[in-house]
Amino acid sequence: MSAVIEATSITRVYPGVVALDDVSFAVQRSEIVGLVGHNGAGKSTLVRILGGIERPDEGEISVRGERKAFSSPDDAISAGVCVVPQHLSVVPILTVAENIGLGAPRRGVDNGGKGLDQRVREIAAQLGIEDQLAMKARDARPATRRLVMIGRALLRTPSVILLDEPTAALHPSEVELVFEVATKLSHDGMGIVLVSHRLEEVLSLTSSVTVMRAGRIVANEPVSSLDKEALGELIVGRTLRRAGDVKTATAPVPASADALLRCDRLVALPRVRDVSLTVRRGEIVGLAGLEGAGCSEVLRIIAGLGRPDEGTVEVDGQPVGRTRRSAIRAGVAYLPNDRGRNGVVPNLTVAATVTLANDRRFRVHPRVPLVRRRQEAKEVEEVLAKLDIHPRGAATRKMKDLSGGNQQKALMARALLAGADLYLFDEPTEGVDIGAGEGLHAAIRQLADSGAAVLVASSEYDEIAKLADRVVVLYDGVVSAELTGEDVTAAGVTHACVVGR
Amino acid sequence: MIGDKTIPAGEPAPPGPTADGTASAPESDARAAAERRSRWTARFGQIGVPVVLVLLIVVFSLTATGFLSGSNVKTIFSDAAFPTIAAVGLTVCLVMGEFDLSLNGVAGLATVLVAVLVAREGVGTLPAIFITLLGCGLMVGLLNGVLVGFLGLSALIVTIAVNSALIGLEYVISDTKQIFGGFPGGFVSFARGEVGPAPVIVLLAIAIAFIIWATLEHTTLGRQLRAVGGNEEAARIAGVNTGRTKVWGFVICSLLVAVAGTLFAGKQTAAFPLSGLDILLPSYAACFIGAAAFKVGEFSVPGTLIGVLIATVTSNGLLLLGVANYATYLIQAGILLFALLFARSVATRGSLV
Repeated sequence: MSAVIEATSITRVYPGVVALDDVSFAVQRSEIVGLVGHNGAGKSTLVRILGGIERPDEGEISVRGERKAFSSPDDAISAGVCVVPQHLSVVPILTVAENIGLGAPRRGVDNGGKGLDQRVREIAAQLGIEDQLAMKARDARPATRRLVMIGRALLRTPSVILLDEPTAALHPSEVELVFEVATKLSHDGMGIVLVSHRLEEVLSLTSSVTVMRAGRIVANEPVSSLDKEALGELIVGRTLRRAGDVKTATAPVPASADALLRCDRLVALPRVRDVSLTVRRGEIVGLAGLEGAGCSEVLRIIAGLGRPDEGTVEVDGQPVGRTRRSAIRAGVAYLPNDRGRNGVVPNLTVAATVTLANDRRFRVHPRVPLVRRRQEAKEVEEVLAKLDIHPRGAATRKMKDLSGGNQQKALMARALLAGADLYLFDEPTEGVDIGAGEGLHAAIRQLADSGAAVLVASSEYDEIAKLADRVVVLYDGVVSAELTGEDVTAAGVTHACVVGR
Repeated sequence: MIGDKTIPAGEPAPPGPTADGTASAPESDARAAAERRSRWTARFGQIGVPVVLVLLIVVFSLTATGFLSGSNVKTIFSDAAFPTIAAVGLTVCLVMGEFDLSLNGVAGLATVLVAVLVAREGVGTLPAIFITLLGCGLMVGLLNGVLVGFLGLSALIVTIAVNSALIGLEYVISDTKQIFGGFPGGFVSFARGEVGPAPVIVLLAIAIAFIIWATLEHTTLGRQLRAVGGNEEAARIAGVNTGRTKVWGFVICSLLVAVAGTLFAGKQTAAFPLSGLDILLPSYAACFIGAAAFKVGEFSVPGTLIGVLIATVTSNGLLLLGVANYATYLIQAGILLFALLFARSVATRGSLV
């Protein structure tokens, strides 16, 4: 059996870093291969090289037994290798059909004599979104937008497609839609590479898993011989601590303690319809719900970023203002979701990002806004070291030069340094590898232990179950359940979110 | 994921490169060569535009007689002073991600206003300059900043409209008559004066460039300006007052352009509507050439200075070679487009190689 794509002894060096070191990788017909590893392990570099976006320094690539040297993504596409990038490039004001056809060759290549419209319809049928073709992409659900990206690749009739974190922005309930398509495509003979941080997904979808660490391949196993624990250990290279370690051994916060955060009957249509919740000092409350249930929106309102139509938000008995800055003054720290849009300023250094609106103590004099950059870098570096950012000296690097996971840690560092009373975390470990995720969880727990109130929203129910003392479940914009004590388990949270009570 | 360019210190530590990026032996030759190559590319991308400046100087000093003479060097620097002051102001605006197209209006009104005040109304030099900077610089900057920063209007359209209004004001204030003569001696000798061998306006331009550079690099305002330019939503979420930051950016820009316009009146000792400094294109050219100079795609004061010098050296050298004056327009356009193409090719190569 010849591999649809095979890379042999690939080496790729960036200034100062060996990103790929003698990596060999192959995908067979009808095979779904999982590609997993730490942030910075080399997955993305390998995908970019296979897709012709980058060229390897050494090593060769062959497609269906034929040696190839890609000098551009177009070369790879004509050889039948398509990358579906992690970040969507869907044009909101175009329809789903127009988005699928976007950038397709005007003439000939693989339309089989049919018009582009007909090919797009066929592909949409394959993807199960034929009923949404006329819809504007901005109105389509997230899974559909992801499928549009896959559809765009299918238009080029690839023999192998590489899905880079196809589910990163998707809610668990939508992941299934994408995976059904992947399974169907593999049955039709296509080779598929799935790059993902979500180990359950990798284990459920793929037939074999390749694990990368520090630019090398450390394991290549059939999925039947693996479970989540074993896979996690391969990725991290050390034994994972058991879930639950993070929680305090101390008694739960007494129910009589005064609430620091009090949201009363919040309404912010269309997503938030009736949300009341409280968080006490020393307590971590989880906010869970399906996609669109309104978790992120509730956090944004508390953080001062969205205006509720009705209802009030009080911190320590005082109403929180309607701007982010007034919320900060009221003592509300906030880690946004979707860091590319809401968090990262590409050209700022990490240190400047961390201290952006909070640099008073690094100034020459509190009233003279000149920043002592050396001292700032030193102190930021200390916080980053606690969050396990590698390599050292990250504080003076620009955000755009960091891997996604490290960017997340830098934004986390900013939230941790805020010295606030109330901390809001929206998807705190989005795109962060397992080992580092534990570090972030420990840091969040420490905040609560030191007397702050914490509210965490996450679509990873494991994470919620592991962190939270109490879980508020939203269903369609309404608080549908509250889990406490022993009910706070991943299964319990999942059930409450899906069932809605 | 932005790029797997860092190696996490997994345990056990992988052989080969260590976490701080230095490679340990044994190292294959090909790998070392590849590393050298990519380092060289990165560095070349950073020094490309300054090299163009050096080449221009070398070529003109070989072909144009008197190019390197003391008096011509002084001419080059004096010619560069006005565009420097204005372009450094514009740099602030571009850094925060906005455009200001009211530069000519601000400079023109400043020239006319200060001339009317000192030559026609007999106001003292210092009060006149103060009123001009306040009226043309601060007020226009505030207007642009509030409309764009707080009311969310498009900077492109707002500043074009404001520019038009300023030109109208030039006519109103000057009563559509040329102002000629009657400038107080102190004002003129300041604008035309020298300290030792250096013209005052050159020293002033250098001082302003330094202050703005320090502001952008070392102050809270500077990094907030850059944050707003880089990702406005992220800056807002971080707690930056984005509206106020934009007002500051527009005010600094207008203020410096007004400074240039005011000095221009003193140097020309004449003023007439629409015949003031034409600095719109030169300023944008300098900033965009500058954005190609050091860190590709980033506006910076050092880059802008290089941009101004490239434009000034070119037009001066061509003048010495006897090329017709109007040709400088074509050549400036050519240099600007060339710099953009150059920056683009460096940027694409950086991501492809």
